[in-house]
Amino acid sequence: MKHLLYFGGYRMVVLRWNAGTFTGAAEFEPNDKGYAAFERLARQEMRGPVRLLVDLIEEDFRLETAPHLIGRDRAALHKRLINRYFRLYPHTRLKIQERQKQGRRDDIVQISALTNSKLFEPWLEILERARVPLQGIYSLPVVGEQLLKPLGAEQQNALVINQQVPGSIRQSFYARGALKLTRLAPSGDNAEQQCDVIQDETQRTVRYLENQQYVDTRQKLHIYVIAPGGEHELLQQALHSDSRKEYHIVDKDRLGFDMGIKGPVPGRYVHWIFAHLLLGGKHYAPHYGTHKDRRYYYHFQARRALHAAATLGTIAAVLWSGSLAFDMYMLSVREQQMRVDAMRYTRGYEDIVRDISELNLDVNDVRDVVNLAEKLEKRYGATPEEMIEAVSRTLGNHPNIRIKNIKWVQTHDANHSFGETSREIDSRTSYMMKTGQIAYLYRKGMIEATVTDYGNNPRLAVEAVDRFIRQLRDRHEEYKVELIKTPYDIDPESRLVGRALSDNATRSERGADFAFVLSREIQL
Amino acid sequence: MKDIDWQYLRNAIITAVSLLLVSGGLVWAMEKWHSEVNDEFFAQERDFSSAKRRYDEARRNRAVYQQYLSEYRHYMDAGFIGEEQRLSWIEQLQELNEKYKLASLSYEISPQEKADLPALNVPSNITLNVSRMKLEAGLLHEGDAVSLWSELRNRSKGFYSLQECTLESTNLSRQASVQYRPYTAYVDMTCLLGWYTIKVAES
Repeated sequence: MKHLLYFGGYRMVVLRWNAGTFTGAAEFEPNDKGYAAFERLARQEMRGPVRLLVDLIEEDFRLETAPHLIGRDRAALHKRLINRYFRLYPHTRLKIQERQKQGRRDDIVQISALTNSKLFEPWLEILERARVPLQGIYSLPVVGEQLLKPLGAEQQNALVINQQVPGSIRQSFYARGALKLTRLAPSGDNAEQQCDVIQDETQRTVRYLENQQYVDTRQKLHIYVIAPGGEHELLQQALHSDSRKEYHIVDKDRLGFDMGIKGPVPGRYVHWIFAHLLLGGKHYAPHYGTHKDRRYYYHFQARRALHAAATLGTIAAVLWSGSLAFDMYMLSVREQQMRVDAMRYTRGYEDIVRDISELNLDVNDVRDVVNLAEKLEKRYGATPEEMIEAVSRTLGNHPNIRIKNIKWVQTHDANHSFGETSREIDSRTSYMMKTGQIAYLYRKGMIEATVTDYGNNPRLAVEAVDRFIRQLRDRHEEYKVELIKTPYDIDPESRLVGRALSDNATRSERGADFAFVLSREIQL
Repeated sequence: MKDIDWQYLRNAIITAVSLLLVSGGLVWAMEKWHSEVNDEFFAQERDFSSAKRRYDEARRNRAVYQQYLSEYRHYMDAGFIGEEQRLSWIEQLQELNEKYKLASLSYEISPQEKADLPALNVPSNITLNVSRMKLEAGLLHEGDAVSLWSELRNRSKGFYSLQECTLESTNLSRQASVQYRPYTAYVDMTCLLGWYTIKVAES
């Protein structure tokens, strides 16, 4: 349940609000009995924040223009403005309503103050004693700015007339949605008297507004009179619109309905409507309220913050613990699975070890031995057979050539020579060979042979050898074939020794010897 | 601070502190428990990883064994792996001599030594030994040399590599044509070869 305190200058009215509906009101006289009853009510019922809505004659408004500043400069200027008019009053307020449209575009500020706080101080003291959190003090005419929308008067020059307490009516002038002027005027107690008062007061107010240039004579002033439905006929007869003003008679219940108040607005007074504005859900910053006034509101906020922190902390702890618990559950499920898998792997490992343990050898040794043996066989397993076969096949076409000796060697020595020309090795290759980056294996054979049956014609012998060597080269390109000794060394730079044989020379004396080398270079 | 009504806030403070203590305690206890469960999980994870690693390694080893074992056994049976079998070489030579009815067959085997073949990159867990042999034979023709090398390769225990060989016609062949006569030499063969054996440490 919420409570709104309404103070019209004399008695305190406590309005109860529950689930969007006003459920009752209590009035307290400003005497000991009233104070005591109010304090009892405050202690019993007012647990949450309360708002104090004041509707006082002793509320003074001023409009000023001030340079548009920001930050500390603006704060200092506003303080000076307040002090200029209301230095002695604790309950003051300054609001920037709008900026001028032209010129320097200064701010239009409204400064107001409650000039007789003694009227409501006793009630505030009770609230403090009862530790009731007072959220703030609200000015009824300022709250009335929120009425303009349901009245459809936001952009108009609107004069709103309403009655909250017997004996006085409030007139509040709003321009462009902001309060410019307000006053309380004495009123009669019955509807007829009310009509007369409204008629007179509005005339007066309109003239005043025109004189003060709040309104232009060319602009129509819309006057909204909020009254019970039963008084409308009377009001419509009494109040006549003209070129300068237009009256709108507003049914308070209809207005309340449009604003969402469930049920009719109690009584003939409309403070309920303002109360609904304040308690309807939208947040309003207080208009007035010293630190002392709001002390227990701050305490209330602190208590709520503590509760909120504790609740949030508890929720966070529960959620965090829940997530940990879930994580633990998942971990235990995975752990169980891993345990099963580990056992399976262990069994598998034991089975394999049983299978391969017979050799009692490291698997790497087995692999290395086999690889080494294969390499040895492949690189060093050659015999002269291949070369002898190559020569033999070619010899088949040269029956007059006979092999005498064969020397065969397999070596890494690049400088080894049977007399053939050495391969030229560039410096880079030489370096790579020295550092073991590359290696060569040389297989070579030196064959000494002789040409027979050449009819004692040296030319035939030379030609026979040439043919043989050429054929050997053509058929076996995998070998480098080099003739290192010819039957007759006809090089002009060589020394030539021989025997000039006659036709009678024996067969053995008639052989023309030559030698050649077959070689292969294999890069390892 | 003197503005604060502690009495007003007392219950809220007590409630907040109590709740926060309980919450804190709950979180602390759960964190501790979670940490223990986590430790157990990681320990189990390590065991699992270790078991899997051993298993995978064993599988790889088995695959390697399966790939190389038959070859390894072949080399063992061929006498390439293990101790040198000199007696077997000598017996083999004697058999060849009888088979080919060679005019002569002599051998000289030097002491075994560690082989020096840098191009092979012999792994450190293996020892490659070599014994040098000088083999001299009196052959009927070069074909006998080819047969000799082939028979030695196929039937002897161990692996040999020919370093050099000389086949020289004898005086007899220079004087007359080759005729098949046992124990007659038309070609003198001199070969230098190395007998290699591999040793590996047992594990």
